[in-house]
Amino acid sequence: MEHLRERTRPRGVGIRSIGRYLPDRVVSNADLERILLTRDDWIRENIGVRTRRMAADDQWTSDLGAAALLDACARAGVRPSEVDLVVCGTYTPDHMAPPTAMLVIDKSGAVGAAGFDVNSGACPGGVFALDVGAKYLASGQYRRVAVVLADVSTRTMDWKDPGPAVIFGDGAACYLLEPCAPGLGIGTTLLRSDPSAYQAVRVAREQRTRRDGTRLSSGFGDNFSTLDGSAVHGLAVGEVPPFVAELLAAAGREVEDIDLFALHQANLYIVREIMAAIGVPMDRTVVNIEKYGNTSGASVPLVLREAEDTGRLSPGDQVVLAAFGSGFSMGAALVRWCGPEDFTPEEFAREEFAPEKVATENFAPEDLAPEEFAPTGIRS
Amino acid sequence: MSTTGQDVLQVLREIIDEVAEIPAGRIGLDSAFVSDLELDSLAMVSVFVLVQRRLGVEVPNSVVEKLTSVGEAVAYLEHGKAPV
Repeated sequence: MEHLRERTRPRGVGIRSIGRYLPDRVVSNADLERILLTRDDWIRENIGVRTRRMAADDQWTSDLGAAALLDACARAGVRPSEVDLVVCGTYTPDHMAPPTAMLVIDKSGAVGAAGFDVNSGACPGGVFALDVGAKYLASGQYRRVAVVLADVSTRTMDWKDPGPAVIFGDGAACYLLEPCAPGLGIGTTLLRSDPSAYQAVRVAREQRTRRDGTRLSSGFGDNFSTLDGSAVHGLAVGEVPPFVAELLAAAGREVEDIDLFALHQANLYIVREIMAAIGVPMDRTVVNIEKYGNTSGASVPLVLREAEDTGRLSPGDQVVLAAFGSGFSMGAALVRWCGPEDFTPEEFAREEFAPEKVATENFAPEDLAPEEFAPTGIRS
Repeated sequence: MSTTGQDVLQVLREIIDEVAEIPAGRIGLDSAFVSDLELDSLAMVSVFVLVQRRLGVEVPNSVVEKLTSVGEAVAYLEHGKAPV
């Protein structure tokens, strides 16, 4: 076994690049005033959104996701065909089946990649889907994993209901994951779900009608975004700060050690209240909700990308990612940001990633008593 | 304003029915927006967007936040008198 164990030497999982795509169509609060019973000043003072993007009529989630994947590859200087696995985090799939990841692969040219979707409830995806991709990469079976977060949230709207309609925008981002030096990249990660708050924010399947009795449809038929703003506010501001504290304690870090907090962009004032509760000034976060709205799972990676582009994020920085929302679920991860020199291309030697070898080396049957794996009822 | 208190109340009833589907018969001057009619701040904004369109009176958010009952809203729309 020694020669096999050698290949399982510790490796880090680093974020090699972050790609993004935002649709061209900009929708202002004044535009919404024309179709909804709402007001620009109320939206700015209570949500913090000024504009959001909306996908073109012929664009769907896979179009946004493929563009974000291509952007991530371009920034890393790799070809899409060099991606081995595409994990697409979405709650707005192009179709119920096959997974949207199939169309992301096809449209981006990530030929040869395997793929599947992760529906972790929209907004939490920025950490939940990332954690799935990171664990696949850490397994050693895949040398490069693209975690795509893409949603066309505006297609889930009931345009009579201003609640969700003033908050959400369409957008996509892609974490491109590669092996990195041990101790760097994605570290301690926590996921938590509380189904008792299932109703707080969701896409409900229900028949809705206009006042004249005619049937109402969203871009997803009888599925409509619906949210209880005060419940979401209470959950986010009440639960996220202690969750972040728990992450830091688990990782043996203090708030002062963290260079950047990348928080889900649920609402500008929620972000501010979470930062205040954690005890950190706003200059240690980046917000994008004013121009993009709440972009669901893409919001955390879009914050990271903006931080990188504006010089707020540098190799070696300690970053906390926190995504939360529908579920009610929360995910938080501590990331030691990598620079180009932290990635380890020697790990890409062909034999390192031969699945049959990984499958062998990842199991150590001699360490486990056989009875532990006998399903109940068939033990001899 | 040329509308009378009764007119304003009737318009408000129609608007609240349109926004929150609350029958006019359930809405009186003493109805509290939050505890009786269960209107949140988002719904209140919708109500006053329609007030602006129907009565031509723009009510600032700072005033909307102070109006706790239908009676207070009628008083403001008739006399411009906001609760302190």
